[in-house]
Amino acid sequence: MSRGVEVLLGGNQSTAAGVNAAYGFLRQRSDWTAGCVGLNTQHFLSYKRPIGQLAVFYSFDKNTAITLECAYRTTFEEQQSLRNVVTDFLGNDVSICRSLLTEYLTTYVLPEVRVGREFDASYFAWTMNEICEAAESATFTAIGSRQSRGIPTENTLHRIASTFWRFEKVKSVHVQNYRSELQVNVLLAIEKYDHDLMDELFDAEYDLRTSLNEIVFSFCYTPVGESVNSDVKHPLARALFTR
Amino acid sequence: MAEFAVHIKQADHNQQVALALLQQEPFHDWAINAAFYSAIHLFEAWLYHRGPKHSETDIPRDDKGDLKFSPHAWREKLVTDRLPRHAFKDYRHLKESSETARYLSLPRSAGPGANWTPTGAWEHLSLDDARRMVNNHLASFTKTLDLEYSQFIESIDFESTVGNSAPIVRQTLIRDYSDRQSLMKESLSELRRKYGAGVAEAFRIAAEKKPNTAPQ
Repeated sequence: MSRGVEVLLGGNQSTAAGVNAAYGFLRQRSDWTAGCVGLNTQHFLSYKRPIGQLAVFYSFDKNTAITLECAYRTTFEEQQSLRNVVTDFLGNDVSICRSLLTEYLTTYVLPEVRVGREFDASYFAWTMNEICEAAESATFTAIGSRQSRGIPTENTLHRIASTFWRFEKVKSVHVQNYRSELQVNVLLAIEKYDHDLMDELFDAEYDLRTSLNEIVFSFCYTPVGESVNSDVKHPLARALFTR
Repeated sequence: MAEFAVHIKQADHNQQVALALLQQEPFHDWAINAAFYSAIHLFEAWLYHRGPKHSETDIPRDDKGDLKFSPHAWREKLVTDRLPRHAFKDYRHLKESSETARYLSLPRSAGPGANWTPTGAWEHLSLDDARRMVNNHLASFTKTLDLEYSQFIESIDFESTVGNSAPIVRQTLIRDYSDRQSLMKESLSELRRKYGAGVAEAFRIAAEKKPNTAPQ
């Protein structure tokens, strides 16, 4: 059975409104039946059966009046009781899922939602990779601002970040504009040239270049061993991520 | 911005340097640099008849007349757009490892407290790495470009039969035939019909000097 992630963001809504929007999203799926388990006031676990998939909704960032509803679909055996599924989920997945999503959403998504941008997040599935081996597609939508499109450059930066995030040896990615080209500086935690790693990085780079063909790129992969990331960031460069 | 034949000579020269340096450890890191500069000249030679004639004169300019992109970035875009994925990767292996070999990083991303990898280039890149760059990636890149056909077309003296139209003739022949074998299948009369008497005459003269080396 396929596994995946679907995410629905409700911008500028109360938690309740966001949850309702999320339910509406799920109700459009005729092959699912709806249900809801309240975990606490901030987090909800919703499920739909009988196709063996569990949908989990998280509500984030109540203080900013922005509710993010993340539907996390995973698989479970038909014979499993909902109780067991919920127990397993809470025991194994929820902490990872919450920490990953919270970090990611607050860093990348919330700023976009706040300014009313809508953007395709199919390339951000890496946030869930470690949990459910990633989604084929996912869509982040800032409800209430569907008419606005994200600035392409921001989308581009998200795609670059998500492309390189999956490489464990990539310590950080910085970008900066030079003339009209986009320079991407990738710092690698390697002491020796790693041919296999570079081969994979060039594949990823080629995919970025061909899918974002209107952009003239300049990629640079710098071996920095275990040096401190902040020491190798040019003041004019923008960090997409460091770790 | 050299002519085709000079690019070929320089590419070959640089490749010979690379092969020689592979035998002189620990200077194998410079073999990678030589290999990359061989690849650049090979690609420029490949472009020569396919356009743009020189990548550096093809770089778009902004309203002020300034170059919009650096030469390396623009050349890489041409490599990406014009060559298959495996050739792109060959080129990028050569370029990236050679930049590492020269700089261990690029200064553009460095802050004042940068702490680079503690090894020298000849340690960061092993002799096996250097051999792979020269014997695998440069060789593969050369094979993909298949410049033998371009060299053959370049060797035909079209200047004496069509004058200033010779560059156009060469570009057209390289565009119309994928390799030398497919061109050799054409008869002189067919070439005359397609491209004119001057083109056919140049091939006839070439075949007269070296039988079976040009369409007859």
